[in-house]
Amino acid sequence: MASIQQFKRNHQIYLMLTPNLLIFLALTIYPVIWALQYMFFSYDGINAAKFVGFDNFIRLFTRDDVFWRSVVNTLVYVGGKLVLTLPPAFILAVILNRKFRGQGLLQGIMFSPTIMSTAVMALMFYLIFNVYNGVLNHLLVATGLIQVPINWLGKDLAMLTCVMVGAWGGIGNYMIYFLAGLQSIPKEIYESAELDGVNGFQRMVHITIPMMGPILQVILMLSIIIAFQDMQSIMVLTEGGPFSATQVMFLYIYQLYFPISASANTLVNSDFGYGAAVSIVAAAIIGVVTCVYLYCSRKLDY
Amino acid sequence: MQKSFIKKTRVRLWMAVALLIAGLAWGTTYAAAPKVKIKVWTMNRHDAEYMTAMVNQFNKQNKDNIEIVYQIFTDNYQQTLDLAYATGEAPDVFMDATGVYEKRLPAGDLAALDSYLTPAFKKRFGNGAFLDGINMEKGSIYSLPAIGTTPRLIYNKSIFKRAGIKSPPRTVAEMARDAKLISTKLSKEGIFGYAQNFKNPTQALSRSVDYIMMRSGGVREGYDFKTGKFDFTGYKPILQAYKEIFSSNGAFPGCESLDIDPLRTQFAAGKIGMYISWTHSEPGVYQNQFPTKEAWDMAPLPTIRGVKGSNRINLAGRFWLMNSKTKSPKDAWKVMEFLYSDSLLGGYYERGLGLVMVPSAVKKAKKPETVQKWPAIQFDKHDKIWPNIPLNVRPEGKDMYQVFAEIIFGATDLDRGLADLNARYNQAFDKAVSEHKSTRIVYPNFNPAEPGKVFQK
Repeated sequence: MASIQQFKRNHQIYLMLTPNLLIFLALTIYPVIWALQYMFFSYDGINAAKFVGFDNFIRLFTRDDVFWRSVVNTLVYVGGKLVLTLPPAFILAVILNRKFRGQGLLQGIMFSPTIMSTAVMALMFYLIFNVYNGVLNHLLVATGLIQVPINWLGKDLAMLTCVMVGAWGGIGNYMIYFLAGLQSIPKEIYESAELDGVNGFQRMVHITIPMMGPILQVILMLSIIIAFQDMQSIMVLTEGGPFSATQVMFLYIYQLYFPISASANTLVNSDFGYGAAVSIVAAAIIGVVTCVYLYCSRKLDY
Repeated sequence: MQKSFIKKTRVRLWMAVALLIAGLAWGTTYAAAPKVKIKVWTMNRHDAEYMTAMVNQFNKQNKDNIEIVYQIFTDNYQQTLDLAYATGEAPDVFMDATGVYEKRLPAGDLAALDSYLTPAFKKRFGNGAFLDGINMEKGSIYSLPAIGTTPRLIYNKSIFKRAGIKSPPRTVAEMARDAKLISTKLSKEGIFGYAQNFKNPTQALSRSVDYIMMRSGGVREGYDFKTGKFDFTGYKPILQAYKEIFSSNGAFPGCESLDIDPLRTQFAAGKIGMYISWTHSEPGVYQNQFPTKEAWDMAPLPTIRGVKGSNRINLAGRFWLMNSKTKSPKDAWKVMEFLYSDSLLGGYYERGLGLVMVPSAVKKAKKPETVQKWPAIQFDKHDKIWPNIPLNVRPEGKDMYQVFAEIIFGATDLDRGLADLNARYNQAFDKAVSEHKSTRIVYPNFNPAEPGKVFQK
């Protein structure tokens, strides 16, 4: 009875949520369930699905070196991207939080990589990092900093290159988040601190960073999840190579669903069953990492 | 007064009737029925200019109210097609590509063309154009020959001359030696001996190592028709030669991350001595896409120890396919008729866009400039149609091309890598056969030099 009354009282809220909920169910939940139903099957999208029990998972945990390599690569990529993205984004946000001529223009310039197509951006960087005719090596050789072109996309440096490209694409985005956080800190706090004779460094350490705690926790969580899902730029830059050096979890899953092959035998066939099994394990890994992070960062949320 | 009024009224009435009739006539003439749109998909980019012009001409001139919607998908063509079929958006007519025919035919996605093929139309394709297992299945024809392609060694004549090399390499050992020689002599100028587009090992090796193997008298993509098993052991000398090229500074730097177009730009700039690619694409690339003043030529592929097999003709016997689920099969066939017409294929051949395999079109066409410039572009006695290998063989883990690339770049031991491929491929094959997803194909007397003999009943 009480719940009916509650429903009546809140019916507008439910009405407003319904369209979003329906779209979410149709475009996210349903496809996920459709894909995951095959995790216990061998299914290539053409021949009839064959029940294989836990074989996909046994294969994943005992026979698939490429996947576990991709897990390690993903963690390296996520860590690298966070280190190269968040501190610069925060510093830029602090600088652009002040009023000065051209502040809006600079914000726009810094944010522009976010709205650029990832594929176009990665292709541009492919041309920049190209070992022999790339702009970067050309500049480094011309200025005498190096004698021999650096193989930026070779197996030793390819991951670092992918991380740098990922960071370049993300800095502007996180800068906007940090700006929103900075602008939510009441000005009165700074004013009273100024009266107490606090200098810039003390203001940053004792007011700005602690007050940014809750939003920092959200930004960190978002950046971890987004970095885990990054694959488009890597696909364009290296396709996960050379020799799986930049193979990340989501790219591996994509390649299981849409293999790239020119072989006449059906290596070009998809592997939906195994792909679904890998997807669920990858989701579990991201879930565990997120939970660990939330537990460790609980002090930020006050 | 009254009479004149009646007269005027009559005139007005007639005028109104005349206007009405004229209006109706106008309506029937100009409110034409909407055009039937036939979606055509291709993965060819090098012929885009010519094909687009021909399609536009067809759209303007055809009297069947058909409009061809011509779309080019270069990368991920097969995946795009898979998605289109899965979502009911597949094109009405589409180009065959590696694995497409083999995959779509058992799924019932291809329309048989027998009911449309007249004896006169079939005659145009010459003798031996329809082969079981190539474009025929259980007596029904699913595609027709149009353009064939095969790989050749593409080499820069000036670079070879400057390095003191008299002729293109005939063996893989010579290729390794020449690559090293070019790099040693000319790398200070940024010129290197050999390159291949290893960013995607499949793309790189399915056009080079695979074909060198078949020409040398070996297996096709690891499959031995004589025994009905996968056997990668024979690739060893080829991989050793490649390993030597890539470990001795004989290769262009950064090949492991090189795509085919960036490779071509460097070849056009005179920085690469040689590489291996398709006969149908490279002339167009260096005439239109990356015009070059470099003197380059084509040569037959090197072998292990002489030509003991043959070069497989790719796309032989098949080119355009019709979607069995097309809503307008008759119109789709009319489009196919146009795509296979002598006028279209003749122009294609004359412009050197590809080696046309339809005798009636070639007979009427002028000899293309490409054949005069690069004689080795033509099919010769060693270019043959090969039988298909078994389908649905998907080994767990890395495929043959990934393992080959790792061997070449020193990331995997050669013998261990080949042994691993033998084990995994045969395991996957046995599994696919036991699950009725694949069929073991055995030709006990298979001769790589005469692979077409298996088609002769």
